[in-house]
Amino acid sequence: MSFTLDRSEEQLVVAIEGQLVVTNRQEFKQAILEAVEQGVRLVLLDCTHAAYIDSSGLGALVSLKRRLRELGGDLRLVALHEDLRSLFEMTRLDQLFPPYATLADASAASAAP
Amino acid sequence: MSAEQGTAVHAWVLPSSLEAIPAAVTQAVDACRAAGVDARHCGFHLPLALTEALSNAVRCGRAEQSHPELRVCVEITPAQVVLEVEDDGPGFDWEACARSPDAADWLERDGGRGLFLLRSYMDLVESVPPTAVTRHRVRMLLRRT
Repeated sequence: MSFTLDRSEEQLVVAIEGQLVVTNRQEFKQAILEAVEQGVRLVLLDCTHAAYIDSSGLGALVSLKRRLRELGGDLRLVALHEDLRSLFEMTRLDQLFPPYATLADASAASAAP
Repeated sequence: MSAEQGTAVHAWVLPSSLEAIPAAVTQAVDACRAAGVDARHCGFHLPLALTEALSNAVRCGRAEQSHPELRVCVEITPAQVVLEVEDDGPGFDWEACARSPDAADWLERDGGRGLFLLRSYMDLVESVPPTAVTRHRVRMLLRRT
């Protein structure tokens, strides 16, 4: 998995390519936490080119979401393919991460549930 | 070997470390793909399940070995794919370890969803305890139809 970061003031777009799993979740989480420390409050995870996410990757997302919420921010998932959408529904994590179709939709949403 | 022609069996030994997981998963999935297993299984279900099983084996299956190794075996038939992961651990009580989405802390916890994912994506998952002559083994079966 590789990921690219595109920061604009308080918003960070993270585009992931490949899988978010036990072997790379720490690097992924650390990169986002550093941005949060620098003032980012809204993180949009672009999953257009994501493959799969294992339980460690899910845990990293839950942890990051919790941290951002504590700071009045949010983490939102964008462009989930069918299998990823099913993964979040099956694990019920869609309650924490309602999927957004586009980055614009996610950025414009007022508050996640 | 085409899966339509019979059974293909592949096995690999790898060090019990997280760093070794991606290459092992790639090898196993490539073998499935070469045997004609469909793209959705090869792109999502199988690599996700094998990653979970190997991750569990690295974290829980080291026993007292100074240089622990894992063994991955993939058996592909026209009807199913069987993935096996062997480790040096004592095995575990599936029912006691598996957490449920009905648990009160399910949405807030950082971990504990791995066994649930294994069971959700595979048609059969079992932990086979070690014996005097065999190691602990997690066996996962995915039907191809």
